Amino acid sequence: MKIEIHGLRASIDGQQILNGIDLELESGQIHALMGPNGSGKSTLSNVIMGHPSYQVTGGDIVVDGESILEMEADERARLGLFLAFQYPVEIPGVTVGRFLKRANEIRFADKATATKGFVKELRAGMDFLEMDQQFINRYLNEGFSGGEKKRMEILQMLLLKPSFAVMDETDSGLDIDALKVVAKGINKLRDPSFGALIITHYQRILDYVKPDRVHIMYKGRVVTSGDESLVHTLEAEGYDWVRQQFGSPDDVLEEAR
Amino acid sequence: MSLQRAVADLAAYQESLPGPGWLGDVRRRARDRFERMQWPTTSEEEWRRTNLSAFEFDSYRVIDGTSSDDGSGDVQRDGGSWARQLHYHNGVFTGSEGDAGGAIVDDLIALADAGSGAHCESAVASVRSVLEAAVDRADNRIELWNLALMSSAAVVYVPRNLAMDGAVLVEVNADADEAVVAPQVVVILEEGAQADVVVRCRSSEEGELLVAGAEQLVVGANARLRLTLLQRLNDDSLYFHHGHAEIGRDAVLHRSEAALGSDFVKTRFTSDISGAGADVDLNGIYFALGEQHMDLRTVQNHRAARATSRAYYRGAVRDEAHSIYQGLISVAPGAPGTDAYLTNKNLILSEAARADSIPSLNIRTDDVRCSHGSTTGKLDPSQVFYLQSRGYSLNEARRLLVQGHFEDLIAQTNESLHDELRELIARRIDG
Ligand SMILES: Nc1ncnc2c1ncn2[C@@H]1O[C@H](COP(=O)(O)OP(=O)(O)OP(=O)(O)O)[C@@H](O)[C@H]1O
Ligand SMILES: [Mg+2]
Repeated sequence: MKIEIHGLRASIDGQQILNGIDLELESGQIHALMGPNGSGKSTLSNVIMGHPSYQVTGGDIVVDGESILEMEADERARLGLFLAFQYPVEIPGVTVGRFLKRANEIRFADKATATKGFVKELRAGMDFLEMDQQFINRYLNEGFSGGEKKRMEILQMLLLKPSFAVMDETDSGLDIDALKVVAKGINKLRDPSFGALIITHYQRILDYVKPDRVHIMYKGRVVTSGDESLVHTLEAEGYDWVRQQFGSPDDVLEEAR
Repeated sequence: MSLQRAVADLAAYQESLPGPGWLGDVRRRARDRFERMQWPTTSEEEWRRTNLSAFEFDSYRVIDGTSSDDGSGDVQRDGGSWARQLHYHNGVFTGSEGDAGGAIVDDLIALADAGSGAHCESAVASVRSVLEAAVDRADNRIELWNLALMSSAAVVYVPRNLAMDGAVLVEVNADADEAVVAPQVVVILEEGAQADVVVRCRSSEEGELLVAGAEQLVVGANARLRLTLLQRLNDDSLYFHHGHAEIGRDAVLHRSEAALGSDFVKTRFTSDISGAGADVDLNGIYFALGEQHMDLRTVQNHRAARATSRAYYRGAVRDEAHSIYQGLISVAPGAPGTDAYLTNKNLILSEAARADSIPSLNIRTDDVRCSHGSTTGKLDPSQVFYLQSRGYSLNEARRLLVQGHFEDLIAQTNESLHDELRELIARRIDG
């Protein structure tokens, strides 16, 4: 899967958040996206997945040669896109097992294997992510701890095998063991038919999942891209460096106050 | 089956009904009080949102109680795993099935006729005093109508310290048109007894029924009763129900009701908690669509110390439907240490649909923990989006969320009903 984002602008409630994003993503590659709080990373994730509250006001998202902007979120999911949410919502009354079984059926509708091996695969996935099997009968995300919710996102990703996943701060709020488990999950999928955009504030996860490319987002734009060394620069210099390099003079002034 | 009698001719109808003399007295007393009352009007607080003035109650017909078709041929046997079943068709007892063990699960008149055996006699005597008390307590005309029209009653009587093996099904079925049916269910658990009872009120697809039902529960000290009442009448019918429970010391009552049918619904369930340390759960599921009107009321009446009660009512409304939930927690001066809670959550699925939530507290003692909470709103768009991001279509996502809204309450009903409840809810989402 090849995702081409050109000059993407988007707003929510009349507030412009994305100011012209250019980004090329592809299965087989891991990209990292970093940027200060409020720079628009989650907005970008939601817009890629088709959240109806956001208005795309310019530019395009093209997947394998076709614009997906007119597609509903579920059509995008069936295309093979996946979003691991920064804040997964709780769905009371819907058990993990029931939810995943149906999601799996939808995703693999044309394959005979859809439901046959599902339970086995679900159990194997939970073992792999060191999750208690009890979760199958719990209501989705209800009362889950922060880390449990993040693991649940990765479990879904493992089962639904997307062509491209956006992972919005999946590493935030994880203890070091959980972080390793999550990284293990991503690396398990890592192959030419899977790609990911890992949104993160920390170098930590990128030590376990080596990115092919790193992008820095600032004020609704991707201001620079590079290889892994960019992460080290950021780690050493902080976002001041980004503001100095890519911000307007106002931003620098603002910072100086 | 004959439907020749107009309900207005109540005295003549009563004369035609079978049963022991005392039952005739109960009916006559109910009629006497009935005749001195008016139908409830919107000037009464409980009926403020439910206007009966358009109904012509006198135009309904009653089913002649003497026309006892034995009906055993057309009784729909339920596939669920019931220890014992009682079947009623158009108000007439049509048969029973299964084994109640040491308990008595039978039709009142059959029981009174059989009449022998110590258990039998004490069961009939208890039912008698329960029904007499019901007539005295009744505070509105519909409740008295039920008692006046009552041809018989489904009786579940569990003697002291007996835990029934398996559940009881009371099936109230009807297929008449413009007819009134007055089912009566009496469940008496002596001290330490346990039972699981399901009452299902259903009808054929066609025909406008008026069901004026009632339920009398007595849960003795340390006894444990789970009762599930499922109403799934067709969408032309009218459904009234008055339930009452007397709950003894350290007794447990788990009651669930589901209103998943009828054009017009008005129900009330009152739990009189007269034993210290009792524990009461009142769960409710309702779903109104089209132009349906559903008004459900619960009363948690604390009269003894250290009892706990919770009401969880969940509703959904769509199209132009209107639902009302009224929940009252009342704590008498002699009920310190009361812990009572009520919560009502409503999903509004269409712009023109409406759900009213009216909790009230009447607390006349200190040292209590009482609270209520209610939420009414649309489906949460972030939940819809989450499911869509996993491939669920908008419709399927909405359906799953509406089902999820009721799911934890479904889980607390008798297992044999789970699929049926889910199916009925699914039909109301899609239909
Ligand atoms: N409904 C809204 N109306 C107005 N502004 C909004 C709305 N929702 C989000 N925003 C703003 O959009 C900006 C971008 O938010 P977004 O969540 O995309 O940032 P982020 O880069 O993911 O930040 P973080 O690192 O904290 O997760 C923020 O300034 C936020 O306040
Ligand atoms: Mg974010």
